[in-house]
Amino acid sequence: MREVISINVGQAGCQIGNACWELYSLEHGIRPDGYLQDGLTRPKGGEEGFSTFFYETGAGKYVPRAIYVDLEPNVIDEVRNGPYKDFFHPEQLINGKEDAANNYARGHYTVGTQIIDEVTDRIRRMADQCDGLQGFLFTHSLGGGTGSGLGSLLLEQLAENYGKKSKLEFAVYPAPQVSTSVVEPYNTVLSTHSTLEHSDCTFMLDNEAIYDMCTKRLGIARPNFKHLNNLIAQVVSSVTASLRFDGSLNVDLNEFQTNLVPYPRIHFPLVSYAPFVSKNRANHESNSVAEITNSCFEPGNQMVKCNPATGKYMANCLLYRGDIVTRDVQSAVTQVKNKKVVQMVDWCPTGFKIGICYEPPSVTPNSELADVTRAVCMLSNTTAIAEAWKRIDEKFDLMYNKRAFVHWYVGEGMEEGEFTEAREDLAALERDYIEVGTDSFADEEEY
Amino acid sequence: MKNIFIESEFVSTSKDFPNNILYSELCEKLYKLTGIELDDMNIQVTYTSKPNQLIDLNTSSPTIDLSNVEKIKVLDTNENSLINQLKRSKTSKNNSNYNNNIFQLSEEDYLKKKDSVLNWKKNNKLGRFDPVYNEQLKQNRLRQQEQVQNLELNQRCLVKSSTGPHTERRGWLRYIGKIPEINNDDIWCGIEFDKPCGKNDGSIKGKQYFGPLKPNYGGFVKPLCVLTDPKYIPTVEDGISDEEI
Repeated sequence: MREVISINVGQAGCQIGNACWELYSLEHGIRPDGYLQDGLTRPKGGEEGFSTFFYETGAGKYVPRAIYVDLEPNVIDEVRNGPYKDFFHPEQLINGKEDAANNYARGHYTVGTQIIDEVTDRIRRMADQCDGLQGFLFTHSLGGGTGSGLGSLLLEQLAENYGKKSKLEFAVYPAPQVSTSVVEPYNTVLSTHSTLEHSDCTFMLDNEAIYDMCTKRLGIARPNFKHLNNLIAQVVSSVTASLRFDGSLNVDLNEFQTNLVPYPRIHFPLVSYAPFVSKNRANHESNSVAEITNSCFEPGNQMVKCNPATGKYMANCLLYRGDIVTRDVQSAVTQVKNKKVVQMVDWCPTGFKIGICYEPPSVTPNSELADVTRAVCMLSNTTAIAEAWKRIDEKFDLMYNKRAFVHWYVGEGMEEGEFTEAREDLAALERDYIEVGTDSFADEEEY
Repeated sequence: MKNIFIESEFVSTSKDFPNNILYSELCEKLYKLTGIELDDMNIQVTYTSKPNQLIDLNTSSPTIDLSNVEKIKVLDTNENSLINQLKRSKTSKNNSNYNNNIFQLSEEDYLKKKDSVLNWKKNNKLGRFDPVYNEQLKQNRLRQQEQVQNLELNQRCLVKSSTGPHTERRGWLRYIGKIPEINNDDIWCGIEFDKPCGKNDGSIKGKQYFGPLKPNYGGFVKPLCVLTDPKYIPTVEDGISDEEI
């Protein structure tokens, strides 16, 4: 068996976790109480695939291989009292009493260290239940206190305890225009710095990009976090589908790293998804393989706001699901290549990897997304994503030049040197991305 | 618990609050969120019953009832506060001072980083550190440079491509030279296309090299795919009459 443990940290991480597990349970035919839906004798997905994300108890109940962690009780109490209250084992839900107040230093040091041993202990017990643990899937936000601080502390610990296991992140990244707190740029830079060498692959999700999808694509007038998280869950589900369903082409967690990450620091693939179709427009869209493939190259389908037309691609993975014919995929990819929408780095081997999972996507009853027969998720390692770092780095500088709110962090025992160290690391990361983009001589390169 | 939308100069988010909260506690939470000092805070709220109205928060009792509050807007009344200073430096993005305030990693410091992409390329002889590849790069640059001799600036031109939707595009050659926004080595040709078949308006990463044109009428290509000659008049289907040429 090839088990994967999901770890959801902080408010955003836990809420995205809820949306994901709701979707997973639907896709595998499991009810909110953990038992099989009527008429099923085994969960959907095949033994091998299904058991990657769930384990079975002696009583025939299925339990997610997941851990929820938050420093304050509210969000996790909602899980304990919500419709999925029987879905999880109480040991999987861990919370403290005092929140991180949007402060990385509280999550990483003062408050976080009070809870970390309990968390690593629960993770160890869950890991001990596995025959062949593949690795960990993190969901957290980078802008708050718990997700950024405790999340990176936990990743550091996992790197120490499970060095060789894959560690993938889904990280909610600050939106270009709006912030969730005034110190969001600090938290993001500090957290990115401390996880940079521990995460194998990080998929960033920018709330503003996803907000725009909700308003422009799905026609939701005032999207709330529930809407955003439902969309994020759909994307996470697409990425993990190949792990959860037998017979898929891409089956191992470490394959994401192998296929997408040429060099450890360059591990932030851009995620795009198609189609985004609302329930009332479902009948007007054909969603052919060619169409959804092309849509992935449109900026409106990206999870992070940036412009891939000005960047170069190091690697590209197209993960299809549902009613897919290989021949259609091949011609769609050829078409994309001919249109030259993609400029590859030409001093190292690159290419398009294709994954197909024949299980179509599901939608939760309260989702605005229409039920579709096929979908695609594109993971592309493009230098354009460095725009996102540049944006946050500049916001960081604006504040740090005035040493604004630095005392909040120093007051929690953090050294000021960590700010400069983190900022320098991110500057090097920006520079790394430039280095990736140089040394191409393609005659027909165009900007 | 009540989920309330919070708005201030730098912040736009929603947060859970208890239905009843001490005024001092509320202020402390808003300070940590918005960075606005307690003394400078002006709190306005929107009640569920009057969705489009912002009214000053009633602070007559020490406990605030938030159960009917939909949105809280926090204003900073102090012109010289940290937040207002930050606001001013944010909006001065276009002056030269702004860039001076951005942290710059020196090339020397980057060279010292052992785990950099540059070091990886060096150690594994990738890109220009691969002698064979580097020779190809040099030859190619030489050929690109030679081609520049054959080009005439502000002349009609033809841009050839072997693949893609347009194998031949026409327009004006508007720029020849290096573009540090792309890289430091190559020579580029800036083209004003007759049709919106380019990628920009003559600018790249904020720097205007020619134009500004209408979106997608501009593009930057390598010299070897450009030919200049007055004979490359706009093609008929472009809908441009002879008088305009």
